[in-house]
Amino acid sequence: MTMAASILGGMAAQRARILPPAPDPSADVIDLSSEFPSGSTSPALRESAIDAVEQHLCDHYTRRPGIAPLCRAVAASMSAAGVPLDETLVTICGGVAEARYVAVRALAAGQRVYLPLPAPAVYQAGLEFAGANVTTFDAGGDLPDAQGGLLIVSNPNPVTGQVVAPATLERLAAWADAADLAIIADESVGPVRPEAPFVRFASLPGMAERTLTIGSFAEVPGLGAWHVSWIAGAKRVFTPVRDLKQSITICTAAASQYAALAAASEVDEGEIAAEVAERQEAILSLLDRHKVPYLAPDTVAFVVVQVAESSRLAAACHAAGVIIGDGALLGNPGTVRIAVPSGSLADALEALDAALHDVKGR
Amino acid sequence: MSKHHAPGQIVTPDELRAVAADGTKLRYALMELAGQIPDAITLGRGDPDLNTPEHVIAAARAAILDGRADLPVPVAGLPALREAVAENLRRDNGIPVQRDDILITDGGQEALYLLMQTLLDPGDEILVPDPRYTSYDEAIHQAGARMVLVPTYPEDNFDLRAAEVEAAITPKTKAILIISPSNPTSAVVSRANLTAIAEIARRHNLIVISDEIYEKYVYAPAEQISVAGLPGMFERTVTLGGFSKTYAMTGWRVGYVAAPADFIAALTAVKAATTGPLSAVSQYAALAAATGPQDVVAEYREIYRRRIELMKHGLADLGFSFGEPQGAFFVYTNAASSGIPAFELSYLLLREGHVLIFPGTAFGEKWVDWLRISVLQPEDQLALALERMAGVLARHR
Repeated sequence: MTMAASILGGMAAQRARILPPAPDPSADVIDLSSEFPSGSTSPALRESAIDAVEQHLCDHYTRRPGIAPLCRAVAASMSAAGVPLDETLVTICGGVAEARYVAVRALAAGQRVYLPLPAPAVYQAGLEFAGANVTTFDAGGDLPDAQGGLLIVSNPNPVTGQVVAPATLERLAAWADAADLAIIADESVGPVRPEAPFVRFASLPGMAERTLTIGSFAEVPGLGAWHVSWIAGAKRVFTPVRDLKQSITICTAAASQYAALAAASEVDEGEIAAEVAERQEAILSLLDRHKVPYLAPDTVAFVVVQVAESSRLAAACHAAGVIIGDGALLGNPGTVRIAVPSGSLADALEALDAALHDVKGR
Repeated sequence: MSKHHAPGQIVTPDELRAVAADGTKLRYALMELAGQIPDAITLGRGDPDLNTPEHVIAAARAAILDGRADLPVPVAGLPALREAVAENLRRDNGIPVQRDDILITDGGQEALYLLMQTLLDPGDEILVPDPRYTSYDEAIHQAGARMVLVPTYPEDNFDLRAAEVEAAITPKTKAILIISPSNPTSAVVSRANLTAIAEIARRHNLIVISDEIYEKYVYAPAEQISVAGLPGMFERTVTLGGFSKTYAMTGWRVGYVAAPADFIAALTAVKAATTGPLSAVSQYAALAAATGPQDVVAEYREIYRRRIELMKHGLADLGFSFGEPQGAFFVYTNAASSGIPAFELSYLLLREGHVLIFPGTAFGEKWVDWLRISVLQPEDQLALALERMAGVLARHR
């Protein structure tokens, strides 16, 4: 719908004009455009969140970095993954969109930014607003000449669902060290398949002191709508990002933090991955039946389908009642991304089936 | 004074002074210091001590229990909440808004940030009343714009004078920021000045940003007027509001922006690409607040009014003057009679009296004799704070 421009609308800043409109799914479509699995939170998690709400623990601002036990849980998780951290180097953010934005906006300001291909569009606003100069490159090919700047490593990549091979990470780490790069390791996509060779970038030799890691609790089915993620890392890269987050939203919604705390202490990541993987298999089987190629997934959260006319498939899906992610808009042309549904799995499969028939039948 | 504090903690005057140029950092440094004093009475932050109303708690519980909290909501906000906010603004503020004219945000602070990024281009100027809530500064700075301060004066209770606004306008001016009731002064902009500022905005083709986060806490005879409700002003006015102060819900982080739909669409695009949607559970809590019984607001208003009266009398007994607070829950007081600059005085009050009060320099460089006192403690605690302040002043005057 085209609206007549109001005085205010006509005076919007230039930076606001470059961004695509926000998606606004109506209630009668199944939204599979996310990069996180949908689903329901567990009764135990709900009970913990309700306890916190009823005890009025969620009424007031929390500590700006986040509730202490949640920061400690993140720090412990990082330490267990080979990145020793104390809780003062952790800040709880709203959803992963916020964590990515504050990280990129704070660390990319005026910098040369190196972004391996395919480059997810999720960093666009942060890069544009920061006035960064972006160099994209193939991480498997020749690495750019660099001296200072910022490297963003998306692992798993939110537009392929694939992890970066450990050998490639090690090569990037050696390069980053030699070129004195700061690093954002966006490791928020998940759950990761147990067999996937996932390695935290900050755990590589010399990387802890120059890496900011982004993580998310959205990999717990149903917790995506609670919008809670985290940033953690060495003081040099952590402090400006933490300060920006706090200047934008002060602290993260308390109820979400308590839900995340319950997830951190009560949820078994392996069980989640196995449960979501079953639903992912149903989508992969459907694609196999239609002989539609897809990228071998390292995360169970979504499936990335290789299709030349991605926009046409996205439109056909929309017509059939399902919204999927068009790779042309996400930063990976020639693909679509389909999140793994939960309660709507059967309906989603039926709609996808119809859309694939429609597109392939033409 | 202990030298054995954890890295990053600030305990000495010199360490405080190192961050004093940044009002926001100064306030948080003082809060951090107060956090180390077990019996500190905190009259600093604008975080209501009252509880979120029980019907709001019940609504959040229900949304968690029945699984609605697990379902994604659109970036612009839960449609029912946008509708409820629009209805309240039409009814209470006379602002001609519909659902599509509302964006739900992660508190009022995020609303400000998104707004500055969406409205201001590098080099633009925005007029901001002085003293100010300095968290505006970073949002404006991030947009590459320039803040131009408009003076206000205690003689007229820090009203925003239309003539001062007009005098600050240059060819680069794009917007006028109005905060009424004001943080830190608790001033409410008078109808005469507001009407005149609206006329100035139209004449100079400027946008008005009206921060009305404290709108429900206005004390008669002052009256709350929304600029966007004045004739012809909606199309050039952005109204900011929220649930944090009105319903004692700072931890839920729910604010909103009201403006013409096409601008809200641009703002929503920026939100989608920067901070993303607000959590569903917080939005269901806010929906209950917006649509449920409003008696609690009147009850809270009366509590704050009584506390302000108590604080005013206590400050007068200490020999401090102030502009008459007309709204919000702050008293902005001139402590020059103490003979101690406000920065040092606030430090002494905290270290010796265990009372946290923010110095005026946390709200603007020139307010060296002023203190902002929030009354977000029970009356017995306020009385005790005044006693402690008297003790400190007696030792140092």
